[in-house]
Amino acid sequence: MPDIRDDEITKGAANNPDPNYWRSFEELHRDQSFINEINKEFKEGASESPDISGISAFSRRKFLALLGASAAFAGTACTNYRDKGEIIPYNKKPAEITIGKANYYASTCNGCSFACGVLIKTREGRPVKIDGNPDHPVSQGKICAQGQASIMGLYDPDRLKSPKSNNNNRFVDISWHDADAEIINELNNVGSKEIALITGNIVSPAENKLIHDFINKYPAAKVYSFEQFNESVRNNAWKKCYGTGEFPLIKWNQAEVVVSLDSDFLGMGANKIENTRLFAERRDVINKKFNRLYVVESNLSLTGMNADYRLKLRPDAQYAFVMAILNELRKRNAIDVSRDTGNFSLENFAGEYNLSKKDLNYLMDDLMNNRGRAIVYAGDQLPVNVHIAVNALNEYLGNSKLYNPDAEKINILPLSTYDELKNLAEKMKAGQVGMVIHYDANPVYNFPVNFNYEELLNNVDIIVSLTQVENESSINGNYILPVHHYLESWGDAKTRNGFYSLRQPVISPLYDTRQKEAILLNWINGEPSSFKETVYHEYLMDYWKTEVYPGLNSKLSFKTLWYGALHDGVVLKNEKVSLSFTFNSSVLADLPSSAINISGFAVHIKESYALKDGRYANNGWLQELPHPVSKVTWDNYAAVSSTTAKKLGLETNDLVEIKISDNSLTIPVLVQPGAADNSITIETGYGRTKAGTVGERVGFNANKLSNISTGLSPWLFTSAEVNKVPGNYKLVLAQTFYDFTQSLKQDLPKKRGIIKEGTVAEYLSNPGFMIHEEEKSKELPSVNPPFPYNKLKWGMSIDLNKCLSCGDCVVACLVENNIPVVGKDQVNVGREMHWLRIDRYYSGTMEDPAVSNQPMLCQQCDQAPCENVCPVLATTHSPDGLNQMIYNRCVGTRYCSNNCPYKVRRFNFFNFRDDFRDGYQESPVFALLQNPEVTVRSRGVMEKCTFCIQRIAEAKADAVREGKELKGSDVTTACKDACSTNAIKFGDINNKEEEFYKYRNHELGYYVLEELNIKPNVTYIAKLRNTHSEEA
Amino acid sequence: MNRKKFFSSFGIGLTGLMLFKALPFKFFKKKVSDKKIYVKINPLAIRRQKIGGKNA
Repeated sequence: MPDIRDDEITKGAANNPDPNYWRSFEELHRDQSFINEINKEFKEGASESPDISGISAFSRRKFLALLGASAAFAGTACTNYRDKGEIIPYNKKPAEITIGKANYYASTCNGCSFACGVLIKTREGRPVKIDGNPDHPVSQGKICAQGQASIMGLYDPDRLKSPKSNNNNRFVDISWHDADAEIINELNNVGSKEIALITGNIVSPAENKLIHDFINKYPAAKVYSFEQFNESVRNNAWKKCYGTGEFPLIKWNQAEVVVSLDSDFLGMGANKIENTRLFAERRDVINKKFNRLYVVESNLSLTGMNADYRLKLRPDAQYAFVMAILNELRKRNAIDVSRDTGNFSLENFAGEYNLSKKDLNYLMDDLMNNRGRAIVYAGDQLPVNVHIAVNALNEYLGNSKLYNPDAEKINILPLSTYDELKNLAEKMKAGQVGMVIHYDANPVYNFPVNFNYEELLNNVDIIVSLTQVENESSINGNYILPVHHYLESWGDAKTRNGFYSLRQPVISPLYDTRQKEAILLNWINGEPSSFKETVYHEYLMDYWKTEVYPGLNSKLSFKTLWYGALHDGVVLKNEKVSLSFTFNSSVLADLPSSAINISGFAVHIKESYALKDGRYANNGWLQELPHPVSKVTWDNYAAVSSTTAKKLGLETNDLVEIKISDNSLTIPVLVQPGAADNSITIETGYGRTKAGTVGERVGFNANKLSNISTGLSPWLFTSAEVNKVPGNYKLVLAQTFYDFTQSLKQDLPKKRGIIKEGTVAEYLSNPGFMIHEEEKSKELPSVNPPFPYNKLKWGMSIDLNKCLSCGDCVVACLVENNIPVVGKDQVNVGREMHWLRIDRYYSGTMEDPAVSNQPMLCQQCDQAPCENVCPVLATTHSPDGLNQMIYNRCVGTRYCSNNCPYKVRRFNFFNFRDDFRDGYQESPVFALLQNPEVTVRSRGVMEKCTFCIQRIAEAKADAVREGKELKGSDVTTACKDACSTNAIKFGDINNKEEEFYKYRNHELGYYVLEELNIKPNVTYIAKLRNTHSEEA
Repeated sequence: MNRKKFFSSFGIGLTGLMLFKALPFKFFKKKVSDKKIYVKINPLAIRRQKIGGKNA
């Protein structure tokens, strides 16, 4: 650009008649430096040579090298993402498998001595769900929470994988051959010493024969069969009263009045499935049949929560109570008793123990007016005198009509008495026991503490433990031999007259384990190398061919019958019994004529609702299942009444030391509404020192107090000392989160109509008493336009009269829907992942509460408030009425959960599978537990009940394939399948022919928070308490 | 960058990579059995055709 001379600019400006336009001050004022600048061709720095010293030492090459290395690091970091391997179709597909379709196998559970029939669902060869076998005559298609959760035991990463032997206090792997050879050698050289075979309850006839074959082979062997919680006291009393046999089964469905004395017959015990089904038949709002339940107990139990009348009484006073009732009936000339029944007075008793005289009068009237149709039932843990007195009471009232004469409990191998076990302990002390075999038993944990069993094991030469997971008994031993899970095992069971049930393995053993019966057989054969995997299968078939088949009088060949039996799971046998019950009234003469001297505290040790006697301690689902009454998870506690707590200066979470003779236990306290004063109830099954990753060091070992020489019964102790000790222990409850001291939140369930209740008298006199016409006709506002569901629309009803809040449905849902265990810390902050919870509400006073339970799950609202607020449309509504969840759209705003009035949405705050117990649930074997039909959710995703949409989808596909129309009755949800009382109904709300329709449109049906007009699809049938009409 | 520097950097990087894979996370992580689990149907088990009561 040519130089522009200054004078030319001035001349140009002077000659320019137009106004002076300038773009900068420099131009206006003719700044010299600016003029110099515009005269240059290039800007400063544009044409000079670069200054190398100023350039960064970070070269382009280095930059690219660093970039490559960073990318490599990032790629490496991402390799932690678990490679799930390749999915390839079968090269040689097994004939039984259709990819994507489940197979079902009938078998028998071995969780307890009830031996329920089960139906095991398998996918691609692995079991994923356990439900009841509908053909089993006793369980009839239902199974308890433990049975449902037992599938976790198959895939437990803590399972022993190979045999071990103790080498200088270290367990090392040993081959089966070597272990068998050494043990057989020891068995042959035991000399004059005893071989003690300690086992649980044997319900298998074939196994019983095997044990006797073992004893024949090794005459020094003696079998000791032990269950910590058993009916020995009840049966002992029965023998004294009736001379022979065992306590019979009860026809609960024919009882108008049931009086339960510290008996949790609806919540515990081996007969629970049958008891609940029969009892619930008399809680029928359709046929209007109602029984009346009186419960007299020391601590609020599941049965007590469902009582129409409840009285609290310490357990060591039950004998005096029963005798007082007997005497009162005599006084009213209701019964004729020729023997002396002491000077017990009901009136004095009521005054002494502060019992409601009105309720006691009702009780007396009901017993007198329902002779032959009432039953008084004492708990297993009460002393023998209580049982004798109760047997007498039932006999005099004619209630023996409710004893079932057609069904006999079969006891394949009677449990050893406590005297026999004491004898064993003495022999061990004297060094007379050469070998102890823990035959899938854990006596170190379960035996009474006064046996000092663990110490006595030091006097035994050889200890062999046959177990699935290491336990307190196995770690003291010489050999630990891993056994199959029951899903990998053959077996049979006979618990009642009239049928046998069979167990078949649905999966080949996952590890180098053996069936415990096969191990014994190998020892009987005496030749370690002769073992083959099918040895017990052949033994079982032989047994059936020679012992069982002839008695069946079947026209079929044995093979055909055998395969049919495996297919069905049960074989019926024409084995009619007709039991007779002849009472021996002279037994009353042996009863004490006055009450025992009661002092101090009564301590009642019960088995845990979830963990039983501790055998399920390593099952995370069961540990996390809220206690049905207290809603405590992951711990046990000492339940005390509020009065007792005040007296001792205790609050929940305080620690107490309980002393019974020389035994003591420090345990946290829970102030339990409805507990009897001066009575402490503790559930055992906790405090295990060797149970696996999940179960160790959880809770407190209540077995430390189980000294049978000091108790009224092995589980009931009196004159205990209780003292507060310094310290605190946080008990985690799955409920009671909100601050109920605020007036707005008090009595919320009643004010908001969450719980609606009435009485039977009210209902029978006015069936529509709950319907408020003015409310029904009121048009409620809504932001959503209505959608006409003219075709199939899914709905559920829950009958609160039948729901006992046992939690079996909760566990079934956990198994079906791959719900992770989150751990105690996360439950503490309200992050448990249960899609279905059971809300428990108290009403009345702290000392005498009434309890209302309500299962709560996603209500699948037609106008769901959660759907409107999702910013990414991760939750939508289906044409058949389901509130759907699309996991991979969810970004985790949690707005839907915020908006849900029922608070049923669960958010994955962590990847709980990775978070809990250091990735315990991420173990490769644990992955086999997952149901492939349900997405496994990860962190940051919301989830909730889906009404088992996977089952709905499968039924839809089946209907399309078969060219049929899908009906509501074609689908059952997991919770409905599990409910032993059939409280849950599921189906099509538009199909008038379905049974569900009656419940959906029942006059007692209501919706929770109906006034919000979000149109929930879960109908609750209001609970009716069967109180006397004067109280209606 | 000269050849010596290149290979020494590469070697250090590779060592770092191996250490990273081993430490610190995996060292403290509970050892999970790497034994492969094989799922095999028991050929002697009898499958049930229908799951309702009385084979319905």
